Amino acid sequence: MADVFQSMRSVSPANKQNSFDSIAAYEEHYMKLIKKYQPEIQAIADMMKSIRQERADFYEKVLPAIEKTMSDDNVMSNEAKMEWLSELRNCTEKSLEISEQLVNHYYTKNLEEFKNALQGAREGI
Amino acid sequence: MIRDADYKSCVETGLLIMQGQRKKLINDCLNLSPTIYLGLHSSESKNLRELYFQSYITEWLSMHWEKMNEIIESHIDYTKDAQKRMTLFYADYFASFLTEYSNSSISAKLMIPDGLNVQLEQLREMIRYNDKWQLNSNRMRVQMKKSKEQYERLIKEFEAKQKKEFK
Repeated sequence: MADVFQSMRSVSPANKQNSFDSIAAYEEHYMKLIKKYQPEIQAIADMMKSIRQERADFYEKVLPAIEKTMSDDNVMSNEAKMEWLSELRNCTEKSLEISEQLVNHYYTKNLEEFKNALQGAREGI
Repeated sequence: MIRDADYKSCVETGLLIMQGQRKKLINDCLNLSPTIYLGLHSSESKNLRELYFQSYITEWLSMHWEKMNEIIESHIDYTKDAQKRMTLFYADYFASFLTEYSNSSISAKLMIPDGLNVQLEQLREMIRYNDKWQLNSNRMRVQMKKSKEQYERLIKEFEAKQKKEFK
């Protein structure tokens, strides 16, 4: 079984790397990695922003516009109108959720890569 | 399965497909596409209305897969291997989408429930036995066409029945 308390134990003096040079080298690697991954970080942030904006637009602008189209078109049955609007909301939500899943998996993949690269850099110090 | 270099492009393509189909759904609602319009105006029969709505949605769902195929086919520079990776990458998300959808609202009472179930089974087969990805992808496209035809036939039958009742 894995030692779940490992992270709570103090680091032995032999393993401590707290000299200024080590910290500075670690920081330098960290900054280099951030710089290297900056386009990915930006891309993920943009993707998420675009999905959030689309969801907000859907509820604030698109849905009222579709309701108006239906009213202008004299849809007689209120039941039919409600049924279709509910279906539309459902389909849009499910589709947005899949888009979020795509971005989340991309984010997780990048984070994993980033952590591995950081771990590699830490071992090298 | 997916190479690192492909991952971003697969994600971006996936996002484009999803976004494109959401736009299509919205435009079809705003422009009252014939199937939606007929569904909204068939107030006399709840069954017929649901058939129209289900017919539209099942076709809309199929369009996601068709769009992906179109994109793959339009890239003549894609190798067979790249096509396979992209198809399997998207199959995973498309299966989630269909599963989520089949558990909700109108689809819970689909008049042709087998259509969606068969597509889901074909997607799972595609993911499980990935060497047969092309065969399963083709089978799925055939199944989607079959579902569309089944809905068209059912709608015609319902309409004919209604006309008889009104006479």
